[in-house]
Amino acid sequence: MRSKTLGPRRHTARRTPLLHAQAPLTRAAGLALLAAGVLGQTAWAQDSEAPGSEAPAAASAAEEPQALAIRAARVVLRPGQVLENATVVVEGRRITAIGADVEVPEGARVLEGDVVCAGFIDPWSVAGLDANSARATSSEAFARAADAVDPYSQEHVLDELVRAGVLATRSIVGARAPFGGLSVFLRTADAQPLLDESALHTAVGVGGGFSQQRSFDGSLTFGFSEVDPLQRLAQIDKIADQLRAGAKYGADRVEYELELAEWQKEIADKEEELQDDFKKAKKDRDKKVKKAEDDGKEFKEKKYKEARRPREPRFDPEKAVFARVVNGELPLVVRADRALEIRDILKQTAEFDRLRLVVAGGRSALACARDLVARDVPVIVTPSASAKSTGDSLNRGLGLAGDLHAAGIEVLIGSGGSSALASRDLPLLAALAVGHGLDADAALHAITRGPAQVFDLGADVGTLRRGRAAELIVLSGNPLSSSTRVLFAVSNGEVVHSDAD
Amino acid sequence: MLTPLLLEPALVLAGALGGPPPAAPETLALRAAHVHVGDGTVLEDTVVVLEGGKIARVGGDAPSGVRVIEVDGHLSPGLIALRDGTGAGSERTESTRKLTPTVDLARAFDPEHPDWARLVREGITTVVLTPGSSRVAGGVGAIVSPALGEVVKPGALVCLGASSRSLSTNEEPTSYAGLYAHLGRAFSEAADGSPLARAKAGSLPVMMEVVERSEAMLAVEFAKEHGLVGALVGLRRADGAVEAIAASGLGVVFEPAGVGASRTTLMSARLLHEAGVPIAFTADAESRGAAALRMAAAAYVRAGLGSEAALQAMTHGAAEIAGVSGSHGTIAAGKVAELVVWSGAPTDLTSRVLHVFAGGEHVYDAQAHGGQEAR
Amino acid sequence: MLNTMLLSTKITLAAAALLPSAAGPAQDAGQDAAPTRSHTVHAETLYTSAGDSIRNALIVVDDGKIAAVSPGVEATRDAIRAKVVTAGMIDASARINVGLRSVEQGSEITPEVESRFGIDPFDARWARLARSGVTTAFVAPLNQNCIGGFGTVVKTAGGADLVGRTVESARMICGAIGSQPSQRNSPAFGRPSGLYNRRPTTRMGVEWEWRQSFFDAGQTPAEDANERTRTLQDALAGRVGVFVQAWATQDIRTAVFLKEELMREGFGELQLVVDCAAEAWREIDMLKRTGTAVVLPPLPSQGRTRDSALMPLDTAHRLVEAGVDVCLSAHAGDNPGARLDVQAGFAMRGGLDRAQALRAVTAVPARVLGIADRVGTVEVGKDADLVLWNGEPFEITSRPVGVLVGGELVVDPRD
Repeated sequence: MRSKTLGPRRHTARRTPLLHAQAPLTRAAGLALLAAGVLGQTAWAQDSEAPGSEAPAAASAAEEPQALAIRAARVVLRPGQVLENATVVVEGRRITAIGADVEVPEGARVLEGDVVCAGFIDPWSVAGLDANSARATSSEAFARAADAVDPYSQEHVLDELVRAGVLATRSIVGARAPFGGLSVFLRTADAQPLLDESALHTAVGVGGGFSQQRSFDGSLTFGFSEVDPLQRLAQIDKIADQLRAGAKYGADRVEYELELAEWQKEIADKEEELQDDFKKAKKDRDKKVKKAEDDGKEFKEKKYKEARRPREPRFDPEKAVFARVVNGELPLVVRADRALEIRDILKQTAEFDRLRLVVAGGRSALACARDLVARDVPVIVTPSASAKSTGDSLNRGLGLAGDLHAAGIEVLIGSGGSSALASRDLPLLAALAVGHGLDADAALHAITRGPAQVFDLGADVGTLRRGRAAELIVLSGNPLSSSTRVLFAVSNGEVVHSDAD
Repeated sequence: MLTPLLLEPALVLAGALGGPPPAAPETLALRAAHVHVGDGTVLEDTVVVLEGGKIARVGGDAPSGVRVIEVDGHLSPGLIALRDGTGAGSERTESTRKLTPTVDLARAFDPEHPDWARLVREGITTVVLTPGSSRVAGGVGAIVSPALGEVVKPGALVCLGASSRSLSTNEEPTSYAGLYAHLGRAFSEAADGSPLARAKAGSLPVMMEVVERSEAMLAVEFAKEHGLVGALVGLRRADGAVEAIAASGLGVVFEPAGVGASRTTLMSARLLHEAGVPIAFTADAESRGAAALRMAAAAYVRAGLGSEAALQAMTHGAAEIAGVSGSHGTIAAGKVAELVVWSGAPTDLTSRVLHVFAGGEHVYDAQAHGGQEAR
Repeated sequence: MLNTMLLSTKITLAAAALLPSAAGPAQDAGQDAAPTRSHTVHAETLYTSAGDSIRNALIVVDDGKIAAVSPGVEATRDAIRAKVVTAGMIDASARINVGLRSVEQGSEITPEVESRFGIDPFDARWARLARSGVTTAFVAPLNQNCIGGFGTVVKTAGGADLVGRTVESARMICGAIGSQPSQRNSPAFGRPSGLYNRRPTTRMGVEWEWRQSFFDAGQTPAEDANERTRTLQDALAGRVGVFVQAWATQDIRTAVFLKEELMREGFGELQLVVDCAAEAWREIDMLKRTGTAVVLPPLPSQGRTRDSALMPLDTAHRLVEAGVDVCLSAHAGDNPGARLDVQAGFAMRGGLDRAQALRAVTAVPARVLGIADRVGTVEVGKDADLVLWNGEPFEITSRPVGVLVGGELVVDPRD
């Protein structure tokens, strides 16, 4: 079970990026201590100092959680790099040591299992978000999924994710919208964003109207109507246009900043000059008092300033987002399945050399493999049992992930956001891909290190290394084996799930 | 109730579809590190001898002069897909009538349909073709072999719909009461020797589709009243109803729990299995894909069902529910030679299907076919 | 959900384990994980619904039945104590059916259909009903047919086995007069496209269906009668009751006129119960004249109920004063006000005294539904359906704190 003490902290330390977690947590603790004092329950704080006691949330947040020493027959540092019979030490929410002969800190809780590896990460999910926002059919590029995080109604869902070892998700709003918005990189155990704005999510071939169809047996089925091919290409044009607009907006902003700086310098110089003039004029009081007063007036009124001030470009939140995307500050995820569209996206975005493109879906991405490799574009694949392979390069069915990997493309595996609970089955999806040709290490990479790197958290999660955040799972067997149980899940340095419960 | 046209002696069909008997397949032996018998047991380092399309012997040494295939992995019985409509499309459902209890789905079997190869590639060697879900009594299911393109057993089990899927708002019945009134009448009026009469006598199993627990309770009561044997199909959750289902002797066939299935559904299989209720999974490959069966089993395993129990559900358990456990579902002498060679444990999704044998023939070889189907 | 269920089981077992000497020989049954059906309950005041109230009553429950009621006795150490104890409440019109799938729309007249097919024993509303002190409920098919079929009396607790929860009762066919049965129908223009292209589309059409079916049944010789006709003949002979939903005055009149017309024609006498009789107060004489019992719907918040029927606060009071059998109902709604004890409280505001209000949710519905031999009063030999209150029943400050259904402690006041 997930530790119950996590709940209350969400009030006080919501949306705290991991790297800056300390300060707000301390404040939260202060508040809690204050509250405890008011309630006359100072025992709370005292209790929490006793080792191993069930401390109330906020009070324990002030201190570091109990140190952990995790022993396992195999420690998967990163896919393909395994330490045998090693121990991982977690202190202060971080991994402080990994090795065969590491010193176990005094008072550490010892966890044992067969395999330790980084927590699974779903790069394409709707978990943790308010369901309506997640399902929205229209959205804006500047919509922030971080604002739709709903830890309360999603608590049981997140709990299931944690039990399955899925400790982080990149969750998106507007799953059926052409411009979904800025996705949030979420820690599932406590619904805290690890990264508020992790990528811009867009999609081709969605946003069609709601349709109802009568099936052959007379029952009505409801669904989204298909968007026709021309419309799909138009959607790609729109993405490209927005990127161009964003690029211009970004350039305009840069130009404005330069001009502003230039102007400010000019003002400063002029003021200095006037000051000098004024001083000079004052000395020659008798002769030139009238003229100096005139000059001084101009200086006081500062009329000359505003007239020549550079015009600030009008703030446009959408263009601002695209400007960041063009700059490579945010990855651009485009959901596209058909080879024609993927090729068109690649072509239309070729001019933006700093753009970090990610293709999601990519059912016939194999046909564009060469271009994807050349442009270094990762593909998020959602293995689905219903995927049919027709044996050609346009439709590889379940073999897709394996084929893309073999072609040299970085493959990520995501649940595709079909439902919040779908992320729970991420390890099953990865296993399904392995069963149909994907290399086992590549599959593990696709749900741990890969998503972390592509979405800018590679230095913190996704692998096990000294100094990294303690986001890891202890398993009873191979990470992707169906019969493997998640014995413990450790998130933010705390044991958030234990199979023994 | 039924047009005479649809009444057809089932056995004639088998001959018609099966064609002339093929030449007897070669005698060969497989030596495997792990042999999953299908009934829950696993034999280590065991030889299985195939002869004349059947399993001649399990255990002992390989007979001399016979080709021996060394299996560096796991051997299991071919998987059995309960409830499927691959290749049949709308032909499964006689949508003008809610009750057509004597129509045989063997008629809708298209042995040449290309989709069958997908099932074989996933280790499925036996399929129970059933009518669509929207009927009250849509007909009798047929057992077919997708790899051989043969009807194994026509008229194998009676398919009944007792869920809300079989109720309409614009057509009778609109209520459970109406549904059971129709079913009750159909059973009481069934002619001697007809499928419903044989179901009543317990000689033909039934598959009763139910989704909600309340529907299961009504179905259990009806089955008890009419002495039916077989299984409930499609139940979403069983908590609270386990006792009643266990007492009925009926099995439970779960629909493929896809990605994001609810925890109650996943837990239900375990609850029923622990209560001794035979469980199995439907395939529904035509809508959910050929891999859905294994995906489902893996999802249930992750939720706590034992690996061997999950394999049993796809082999021996399914054979029992379909009434063909005498010939199918386990690796035992005398059973049909339907085997799958896996790279790892059969219920592990990371395992790959390496070889498939059906009727003693080597019908799929992953290497030789480069991942493509054998047929 | 599952976890919660397991948890609550554990709690119940733990509670049983804490009471080593809890009364009853069935205590050992606790080891089988089956909850015990034997308890001792002590009430400071016991309202029996049979005419008297008893101070300091000790009620011994043995295997689901009331074994003894002793007045003026101190509580034993193991007794479950309560300020007030009453009989379990009975909702004569609990609408816990599966909606449209509970009524067979293939025909307008389906008296032979059993409503039990349309009852979900796993419906979450059962637990809510039991917690609110309702221990027995009458469930009719959804009122979308003129005559929908037989209603079922079920206990509100007792697990998945609906058959085991069913109480043998008077057989009653349920139907509706008014606007509901015709709502979904429409005349066919050109070719009929569904089963809703049919009569009735008006109140007159509904009445015609009722009259036609009973006249046909009355004139059909017994040997030619099918199940449907036989059921209607049973109703004419008084062997089967007729439970009719009629909200507005004109619909209540139609029901009574139909009964009188059938008597005049010599077909027989219907045993009529009018459900949802919001405007019964306008036709008190007619109801008295024909001995018709009524079930009142929940008091509307805006005065008007369905079919624009007006239901004032003193409806129950006026009818009871006139000697009409009145049952109250809450329709098992989702609204927190739609609780039977709250409805009884409203009826008291309208003029009923506490004893009358209590009888309207216990003894009277028991008699009307034909289950008075099992439930409705606290008497030796009756089912141990008890409600334990923390104060005088139906007061705004009172609520059920303990509930026993068939001797099983569904809500334990000690928790």
